[in-house]
Amino acid sequence: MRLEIPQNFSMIENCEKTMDVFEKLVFSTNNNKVKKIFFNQENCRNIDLCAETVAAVLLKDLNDADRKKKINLSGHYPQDDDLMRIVCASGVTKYLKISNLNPQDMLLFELREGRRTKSTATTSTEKEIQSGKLIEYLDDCLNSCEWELKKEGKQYLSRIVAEILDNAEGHSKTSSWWINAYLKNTGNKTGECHLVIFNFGIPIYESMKDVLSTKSPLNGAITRLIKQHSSRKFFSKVWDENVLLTLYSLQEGVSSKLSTDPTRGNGLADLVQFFQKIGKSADKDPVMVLISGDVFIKFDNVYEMKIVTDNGNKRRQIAFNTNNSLMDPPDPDKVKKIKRYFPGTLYSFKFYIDNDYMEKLQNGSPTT
Amino acid sequence: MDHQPLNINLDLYRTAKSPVFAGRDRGIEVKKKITLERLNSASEISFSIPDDVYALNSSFLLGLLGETIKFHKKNGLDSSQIIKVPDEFKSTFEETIREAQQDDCLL
Repeated sequence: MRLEIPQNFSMIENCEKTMDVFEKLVFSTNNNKVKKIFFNQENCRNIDLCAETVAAVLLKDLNDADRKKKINLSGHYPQDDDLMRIVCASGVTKYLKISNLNPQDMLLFELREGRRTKSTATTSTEKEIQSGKLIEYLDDCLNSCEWELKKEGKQYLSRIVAEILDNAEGHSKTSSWWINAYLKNTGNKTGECHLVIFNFGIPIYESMKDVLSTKSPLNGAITRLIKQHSSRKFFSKVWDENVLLTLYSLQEGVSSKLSTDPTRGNGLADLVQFFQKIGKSADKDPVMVLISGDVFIKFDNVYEMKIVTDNGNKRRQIAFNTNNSLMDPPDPDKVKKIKRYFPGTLYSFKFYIDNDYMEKLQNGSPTT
Repeated sequence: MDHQPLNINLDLYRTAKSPVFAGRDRGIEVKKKITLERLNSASEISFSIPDDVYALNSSFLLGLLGETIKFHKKNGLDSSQIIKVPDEFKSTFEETIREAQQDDCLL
């Protein structure tokens, strides 16, 4: 099988065509007739880390030593030198141990697989260990631009990361999750950082549906919201109940597990706000994409988390529309149902470390 | 009830020099190891926290101390006077007390 990788191999910018590649890879896994795969990235003009990472994990599975059926893997690197270096340093060939490039202008957080481990009193869990490593890595990224995370910053981020990994473990079919990241220096004290965290498992909206069958305090609110969108005929091909549930799960204080644990449910909201605040550069905004099942949500600073008052309580909300109201449909460019299905949940972050911006932020006058 | 002070050395409850303590299940396992009886009867609970630890998440603290905080409340005791947490983790601990007292279903 020859896999022609699209010119724009990106979950952020070309999600559906990129997911076509994954579908073909999964098909190959399940098809005994496929003996060879040729992975052709020759014509790629853009490759993002999340696309490359998911492909790497799927190809690794095909190439796994435990598999009875062996598949011969080969391919072409991108012609573009810069992209080739990214693939060699943090992509498919690195994970398959075909290449081992560690460029000086890149800081790598090698792709790693984490797994839910049983908690014991004296042994740290994989989630704790990898959260710590990721925080240290993010600090190293800042260090490379002569900034650093204070202890409070590390504590704040570790809470967020641990919660995202907690969700990944909770919704995972395989109890595994993957993290990959790199920082590429782009100039004097500036860098572009990509971070991807994903699992294969139940989409967020399926977990949220479980809430609807419980006595969760969320139940009434979700039901009212669905009725509102249904009666006003807001639902369409790209905006349905599953998308609404996923969007709802992002709001502060909401979690598919809220019925048993009110402390959960702020991690993603916090992480989005963190990157929206510090991850800007002079001319670029950070981008975060969440893909869960067939739902695609893109955060790119056009819409931001804002405090709303709900029954006298203040909480943060992002509705992706000009009124920032969950009663109205979101901007279909940012929140939509897609034609492909990702069997799990993927978080992709692309943000910047820009000394000038950070200095302005520190002095209380951030650029907008 | 021995009403003795109790010091929890977190270095004994981690591996790989992990700087992060997170997860309710982990907190519950540490509680089991120490025993709820000792936690509830201690006149003071303090922590020895290695310098390289920067995250003591509220989920972990809730697993470890949630029941004790509820026990204190039931017996008219002030958890913030009995449980001494280093200043840098104070806000997380205050959050833990709030959360533990908020909802019975937590425990």
